[in-house]
Amino acid sequence: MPKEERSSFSHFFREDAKLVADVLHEEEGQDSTVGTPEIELIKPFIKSGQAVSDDLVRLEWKKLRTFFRQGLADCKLSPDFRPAILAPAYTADLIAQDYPVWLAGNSSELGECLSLSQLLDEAFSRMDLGDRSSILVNSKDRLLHLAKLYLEENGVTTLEQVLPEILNQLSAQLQLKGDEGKTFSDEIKQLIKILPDHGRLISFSNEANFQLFNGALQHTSQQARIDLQREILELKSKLKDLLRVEADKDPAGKDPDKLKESLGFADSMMKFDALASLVPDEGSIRMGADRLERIAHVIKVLENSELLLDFTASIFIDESLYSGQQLLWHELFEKAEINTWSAKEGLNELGVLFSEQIDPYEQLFSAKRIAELELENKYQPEIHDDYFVGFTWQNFSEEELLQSTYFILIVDDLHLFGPQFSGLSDLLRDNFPIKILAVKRNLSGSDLSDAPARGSLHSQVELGALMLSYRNIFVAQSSSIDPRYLFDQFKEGLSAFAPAFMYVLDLDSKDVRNAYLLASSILECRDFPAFTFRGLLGNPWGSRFEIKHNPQPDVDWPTHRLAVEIDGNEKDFLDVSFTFGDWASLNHDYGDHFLPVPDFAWTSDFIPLDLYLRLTSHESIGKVPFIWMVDQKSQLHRVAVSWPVTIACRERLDFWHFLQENSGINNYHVDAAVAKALADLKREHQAELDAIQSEHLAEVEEIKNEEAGKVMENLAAVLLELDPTNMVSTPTMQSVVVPPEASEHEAGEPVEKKQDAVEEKMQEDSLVIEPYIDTALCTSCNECINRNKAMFRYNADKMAYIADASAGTFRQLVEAAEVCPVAIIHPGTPLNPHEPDLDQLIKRAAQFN
Amino acid sequence: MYGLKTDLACEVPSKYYSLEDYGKGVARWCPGCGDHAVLTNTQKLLREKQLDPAKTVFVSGIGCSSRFPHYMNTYGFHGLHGRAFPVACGVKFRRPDLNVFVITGDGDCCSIGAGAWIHAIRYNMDITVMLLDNQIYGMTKKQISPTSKLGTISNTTPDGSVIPPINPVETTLGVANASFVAQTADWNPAHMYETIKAGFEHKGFSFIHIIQRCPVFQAGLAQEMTSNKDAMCYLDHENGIQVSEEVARTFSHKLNHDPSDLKNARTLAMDTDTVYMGLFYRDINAPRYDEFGASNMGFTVEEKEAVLRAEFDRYAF
Repeated sequence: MPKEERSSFSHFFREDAKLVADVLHEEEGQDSTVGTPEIELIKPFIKSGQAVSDDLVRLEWKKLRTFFRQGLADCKLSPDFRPAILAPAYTADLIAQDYPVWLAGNSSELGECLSLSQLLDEAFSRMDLGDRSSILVNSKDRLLHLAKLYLEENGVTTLEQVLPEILNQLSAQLQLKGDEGKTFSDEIKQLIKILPDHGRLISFSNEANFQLFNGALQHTSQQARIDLQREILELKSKLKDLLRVEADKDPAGKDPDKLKESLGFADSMMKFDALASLVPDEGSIRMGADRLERIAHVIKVLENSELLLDFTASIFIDESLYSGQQLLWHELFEKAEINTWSAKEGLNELGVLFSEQIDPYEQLFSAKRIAELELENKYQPEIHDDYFVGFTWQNFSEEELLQSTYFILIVDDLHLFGPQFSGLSDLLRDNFPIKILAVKRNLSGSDLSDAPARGSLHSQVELGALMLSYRNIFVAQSSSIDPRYLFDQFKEGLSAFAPAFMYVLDLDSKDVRNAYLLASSILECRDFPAFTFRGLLGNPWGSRFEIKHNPQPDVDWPTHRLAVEIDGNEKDFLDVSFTFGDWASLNHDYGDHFLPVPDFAWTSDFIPLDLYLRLTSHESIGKVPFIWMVDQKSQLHRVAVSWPVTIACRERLDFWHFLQENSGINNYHVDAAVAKALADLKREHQAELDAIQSEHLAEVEEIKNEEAGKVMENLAAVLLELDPTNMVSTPTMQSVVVPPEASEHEAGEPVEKKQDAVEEKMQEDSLVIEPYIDTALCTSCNECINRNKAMFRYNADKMAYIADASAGTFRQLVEAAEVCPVAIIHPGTPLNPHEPDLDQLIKRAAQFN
Repeated sequence: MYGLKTDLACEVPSKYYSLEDYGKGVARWCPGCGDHAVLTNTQKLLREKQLDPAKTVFVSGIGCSSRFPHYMNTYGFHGLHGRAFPVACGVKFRRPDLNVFVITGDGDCCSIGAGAWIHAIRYNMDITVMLLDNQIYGMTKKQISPTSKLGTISNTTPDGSVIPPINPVETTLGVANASFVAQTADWNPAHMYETIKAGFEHKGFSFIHIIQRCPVFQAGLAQEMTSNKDAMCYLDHENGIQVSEEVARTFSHKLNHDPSDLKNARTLAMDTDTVYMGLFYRDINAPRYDEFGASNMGFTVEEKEAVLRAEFDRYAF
């Protein structure tokens, strides 16, 4: 049946459904959606309407052009419309995220920061599951879902608390019995054994950024602090020993009682009177008073420094940040000293505070270094006195900086624009190793009126990119969408021997699912691209900047292939780009910048936004851009985008190109260098090829001449009636005689073969072959199971395996092999050598082994 | 790469169904019967797809294999001889939300039920059909069936059968609007599983011919089929039945066959020397009669009456 007929036939039946709805609507005034099936995950589709007159198309285009110029549609875009790529996310129950995230408490071979999904995958890969399919492994999504629910209810918690809870819930849900139940509980035991018993689980929320930051802080400072504590203890002890020895140099130490005290043990075994007579009267050379005083001072500083070790960081928190939500900063950063910072105080004040905070560490590390010199007796006052008087944090080694306090500012990025920017500039210019965590909360696509400091929709100030101009700085711009990357960025920033500016995105949304989708979209549409700049001196040029954690970093806009149904053809697809325009369409404030256009007006001048942005101004004349959107019923629409939003897209694209250039993608200079290198290579290759060819030609010419000479010689010989073979001998004319060695070998072979066979037979006799079943080929016919349920069992896929070969006789194994309709039971060799009729059974088993 | 994940959506149902949830009773087939393997594989498919037993129906006719619905803890209909197809079509036509399976044998389908079979193919409703073909009437103790080889000795043909057999694959491919035709064998469970799975995933009438051994009444044939590996050929194609490399290696011969090529599919089906395993033909665009069946599903009697009245009013004076 032709398609047209089918569709009209289909309409015949469907029309009555519509009629019912219409009738009910008229009669009862109810919503006309009665009887329509619930929308689930339906493939987006396009259904062409009827053709219309050219006049109507012209009228529609007139309206469309007016809209495009002004960006003021008659009514705002319905919230039911969503960018086509986001359609599946809005119709599913669960969104697969990288959350919950597990942050290790101690060092673990599984890693420091993993999504729970990755952690479970790691654990599953270490479990002994054999070939069978595992219900536990298949239930991973369910476990993640349960963990999410648990975290939503209980907040951040430890893996040790969550795991038993969710596994119990899973067991209760599955209610597995019999063999499946036993296998499942064995698998759970294995899983618990493999998973670590430490670490916390965090879910996606506006706290996630800080949880990850705290995790990175702990992991960076933990080992450094332990090392520092050990070093201080060692130095103190050694210095005290030094002083003790010095005290013993006192002539009074010659007194027998003093000697006895100094020994402390075995005093009954020695004659200290006699020992005193052996000690010289004048004593050893003694330390100068200056040195003694210096060492005593160093010990005092080291002892006082123990208090410093209680806190890993001094954190200044912008008082306006989450002021309404009362985040419990003390609980978030339990090992840090929390201070409040107000934008009114300015950032210059922080420089002073930093100097105050770092001062005890300057004293500590100065004392440490003096101690090390003293212990080696290398301290030279004429050189070192001056050095240590002027010892500041700038003299710290990289290791010392990690061991000192972390000076951290957590700030709303809006407080870094305007007058505060000069203070920030001073801080960074002076190279203070301060770590700034700036949080971008209001977004360009959402509410610019709240954040005029960031510029306008058409011209945004990029704070992250501005930081690049300080050169010796670590800059990371990212969001908690990718928790592992963010964690690594935090760690790198905290351990950098330089200032670090970490710029993170936070969507302050109560609706977690919505926030996650929006945050993903922001990264996708290049509004807040992720990048890292390692401006630290010493990094090779060109390797400092990277943008690889963005989706499809090599292109302008990420493009996805979308399976769609066009006029009933289920196999069609569309390549759809996700642009800044798609992101802006999610914001109801921009609703009048988007206009759905009926399909009869989809002419060749109506082009996708990503293509439009590639056109020159001349080429774009008369054209209008659109984005693909779906409505609630999954029908695809082309939605026109206004000129102001198109300009905003250009601006975002421009910034994206700036980042691409910096990272070497589509960089003019890089491309030129690559083109030049390719041209050089091609030239060299061509020259080489030419040389080989000319050489080859020369050789061919030479051979030709030689052969011509030989031919002439042969010809001459024939003509002179001489045998040419006597004149020209070639290898092909030599007869090859095969020596009759092979026959000698053959003659000797049977004897050797016989010996080998006897040896093999002897070895075979002593071999033990384990019985087994080719489980994958089992047809579940019950033949073996019915013979011995302890020996043969079904796995979770109802396929047989040998559970316990010793649970029955060898006879049962052989008989099972014989009746198995697919001959997949291999009885092996008998376990019990005393079983009756073994000789016969072994013979019967042989064909199955 | 981070950003939007187009595969970010997945659903978690409230209940997990295990094999036990799909099984019922003890299968009373002879030891070594191929029906066991089909039963297990079908239950595994239901588990993988997590089909709700309350939304799944198995319909069968008469014969050994037609006992199948008794061993499934789903809805079932063990009906009249040769009438599995009309019942299944009726169920699907009015309840398109149900997963409908037909289990039929060589007698049930190709003999008494042949008329219903042909029209069911043509209707192309979204039904998964498994023809369990052991080439003999086993339940009634060895009489030839329409698919028995020429010369088969049975109680009704003591000197051997004299009429050539029906080839179910060839027959199905010859009917208008056939949309999915595949062949597998019970002694290769992995291939059978993938075939049944592909059939279930196809939207339309999925006809799966399962060559099956009857170790009691066709013991010789079973031995011959399983031992002669040269007689089997695996149909290998990216759009065909996908099996793992290990399973593909169990076949000595392979042939690349595009399942959209109906002409070649028919040629292969007619080849009497080789048994081809895999997907012969698939057409996802073949019209489905069940799509026209239940558009007014869910309406009450009053609502239907309202429609009828409105319709009659159009012709009223």
